[in-house]
Parts: sequence; C-alpha cells; structure tokens
Amino acid sequence: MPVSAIRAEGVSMDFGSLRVLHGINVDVSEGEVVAVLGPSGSGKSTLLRCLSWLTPPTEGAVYLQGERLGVAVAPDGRQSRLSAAKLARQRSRIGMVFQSFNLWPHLTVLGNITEGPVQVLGLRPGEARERAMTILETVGLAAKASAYPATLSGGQQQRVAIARALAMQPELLLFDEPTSSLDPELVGEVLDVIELLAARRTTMVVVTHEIAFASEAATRVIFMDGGRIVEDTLPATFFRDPAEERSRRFLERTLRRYAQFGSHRSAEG
Amino acid sequence: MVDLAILSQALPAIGTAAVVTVALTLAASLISLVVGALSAAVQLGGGPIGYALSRTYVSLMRGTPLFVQLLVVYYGLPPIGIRGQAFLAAALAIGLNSGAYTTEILRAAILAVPRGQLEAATTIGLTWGKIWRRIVLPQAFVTSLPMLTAEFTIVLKSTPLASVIAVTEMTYTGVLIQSRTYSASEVFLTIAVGYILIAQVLMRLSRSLERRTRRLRF
Repeated sequence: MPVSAIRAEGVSMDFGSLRVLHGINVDVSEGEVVAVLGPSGSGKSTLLRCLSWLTPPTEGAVYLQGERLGVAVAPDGRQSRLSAAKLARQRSRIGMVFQSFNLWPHLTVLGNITEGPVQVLGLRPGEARERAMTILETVGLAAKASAYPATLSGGQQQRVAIARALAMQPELLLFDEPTSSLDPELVGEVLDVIELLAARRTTMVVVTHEIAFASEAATRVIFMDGGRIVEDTLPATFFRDPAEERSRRFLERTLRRYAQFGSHRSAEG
Repeated sequence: MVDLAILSQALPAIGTAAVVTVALTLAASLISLVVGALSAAVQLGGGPIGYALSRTYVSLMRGTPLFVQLLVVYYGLPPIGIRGQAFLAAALAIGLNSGAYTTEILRAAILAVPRGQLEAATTIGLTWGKIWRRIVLPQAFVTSLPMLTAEFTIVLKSTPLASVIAVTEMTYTGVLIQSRTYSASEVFLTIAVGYILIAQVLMRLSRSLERRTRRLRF
C-alpha cells in the first residue's frame, strides 16, 4: 500500500454563488508525478490552492501525510480552526510554485531561497546558504546567487522559485502552470528542472498545458472539466485512448495546435 | 537696497533659529512616520475597530487647519500637567497632522506589494508578523520614499506656524529682527534662502537613499 502524500476528500469550492469545485476526491501517493490537465476555468488552479490551503475549501478535507490541514480535531471529534502558527508550519511542508514566480524583489536570489529555511525552519544562516547553493547548482543558477530577481529572465526566475520551494525540503511540490507566463524559448529550461525532480521521485502535482511534459514525465494524468475530475489515469492510457468524450475533444484541440505550431520544445530546437 | 550691516548682525540669530527649525522638522517627521506607520498598520490589519480609529484620525487631521490643531495641542497640554513646552506642542501638532498624510502614503505603498508575493510567503510557512516585517514593510518603505520626502518637505514648511505659540524658529526670529530693525527684505530673503538650503539637504538625502534602494525595485 503506497503512502498517501496528500489526499483531498469531498473538496468543494464556492466563489459567491458559483461552485468551481464539486466534491473532488484525489489521493496522491509518495513519488507520484501527477499532471493536471483541462481547459481554462475547469478548476485546476483552484484545486491546487485548496491542496496547499492557500484558499481553504468551502467543504471537504485535505490530509497531508494523513494529517488534517487547517483544522484541529479534538479527541471527542470536535473541529476547530488550527492556530495560525500550526497552519503556517503545515504549509511549510508543501512547496508551491506559481505561474508568476512571485519572487521577493527586495531580496537577492540567495535571500529568496534562505528566507524560509532561516525564518521558518530555524536554520543558521550559514547552513541555509549552503543548502541554497546546493539547490542552485541543481537548477543551474549558482552563478546568480547574489543577483536580484529583476535582473533575471522569466525562466531563471521560475527556477529560483523552484529552488526556494525545494529549500524547505517539502513533502510534496505543487506547480500552478509553471511555464504559462514564460516566453516559448524559456519553457524548456524550467521543464528540464521539473523533469529532473520527477526522475528523483519527488512527489509533485503539476497543473500544466504542456502535453509533452504530461505524457513524458508524469506518472499519472488527471483531466478536469467543469470543476470535476473527468479522468484519472495513466498518461499512456489518457493520451492513446481517453475514456471520456470531453477528454478526447480537449486532446484533439490541443494536439491540433501542437501540430500547427509545434511544441515549445521543438521551438527551442 | 540691501543693508549688509544689518544682515551680518542678524545672521547669528537666524542661524540659531535655523537649528530650531531643523530640530522641529526632524521631531515632527519622526512623530509623523511612527504614528503614520501605526495608523496604516491598524487600518489594514486591525479589524473593524482599527480601521475606524485610523480613518477617524485621518479625517480629523485632514479636515481641520494645522493652525487650529497647534492651538488645540498647545492649550491642551497644560491641563495634563505639561506647561511651557511650546517646542513639544509644535512637534506634536505638526507631527500628528503630517501623520495622517503619512498613513495614506504608507497604506498605498503597502497595498502596492503584489498579492502573489504574500501568497508565496504564506506557502513558505512565514507567519503574518514575519510577512509584514520582512516582505511587506521593506518594499513599502522603498516605494513610498519619494512621497515621504515630499511630505517631510511640507513638514519643514509648516514649521513657521509654530511662531504663533512663540517657538523661536526661523520665521518667528525673522519677525522679531524685522520689528527691531525695520529691514524686511534683508531678513526674510535670507530666511527664504535658509528654507531652500534645508529642503535641499532633505531632498539630497532622500535621493541618495533612493539610489541605494533602486536595485530593490521591480
């Protein structure tokens, strides 16, 4: 029985009177790389934000390694909101990478990466710097340690953002369309890093539009539409023989675009 | 005609008064910054009561003349046991008045920090206090630097109002000299140059701070 890294149970999300997630159940095991696909507005990003408790869901529960997120459950079963400090601690165990990088512009690359380890995990600055430099080597940016985010390209910024998340040594990583705001020629360098992490069996949930990445690096594909999980299957099955009409249409549309313009990878040469 | 003899006699007194003007400007600006930061903080993060308190303070200060506020503070201090403290009253009144504008400057700068940065800090596991101290405020300070400089220049130019409660700052000293010597142009032109020099120092300081923090901007 594989260990569950993160599990959502009956997660629903309302924005005003609009329900954007309908009772999502999903269980991600350690070492899995889950690609979440689906058209815009299908609830992919919202699901990710619920999993990280950045946007607590309207209904349902999320469990991180079996531990309930954001909610304290007393022995007699009574539930109350978890204290801010405990919730912050839980969040620190989940790494999140955003579409728009969200680096802190007033800190250097090194400062961005060591902030969490020093301020949250209580590492000594020297230790945190060492850890950061090792990770920067991995993402190929050791030379940029003392640069400020504004001087970096989008692809470099996103790699720093990944390094920042990794420095917390999280139990899993969530990626919210990590390449969607990048120039086509910069997509490859970010996907390379994510694929490297996949090869190291890092547990990841990646919301993406990169079909090639999903089919090559993911161990599982979740296809969402209209706030529901339509398909949850192996990449090979999904791309060769999608079970649902909606997934088939989505794939046809996306692949047609690929055929026309080529994937970002081929654009890179 | 400019009478240089009168001017050379008046200069030492004007110089001493300039020190008072600078001290008053610094004290009032410091009060403004501290009160403004607190007021902006409770307005944005202090719940409905904090919000109401800060908004009331801002509208009271912006809705009444500084001249009146000076008199209210000056005559309001003796009943609480503080007497003959014209300088303190002036620093408090000008500082509290300016604090209302500083509140708005800082509030805008704080709100200008992109939400995504706060979300990134939240997912890293930083608590609210640390997010404020380490992510929001350093950036808000850099963003608001030009506006704060402008505000503190206004503080400098508000200090002559303190003459109404007999603080011997530059303008009041000028009035005293003029009433003895009847030479208005020598005295007041000199004083005007004095204000320009002080304002220049203030702006130069601010620009060098801006230069040093420029790389922190987006």
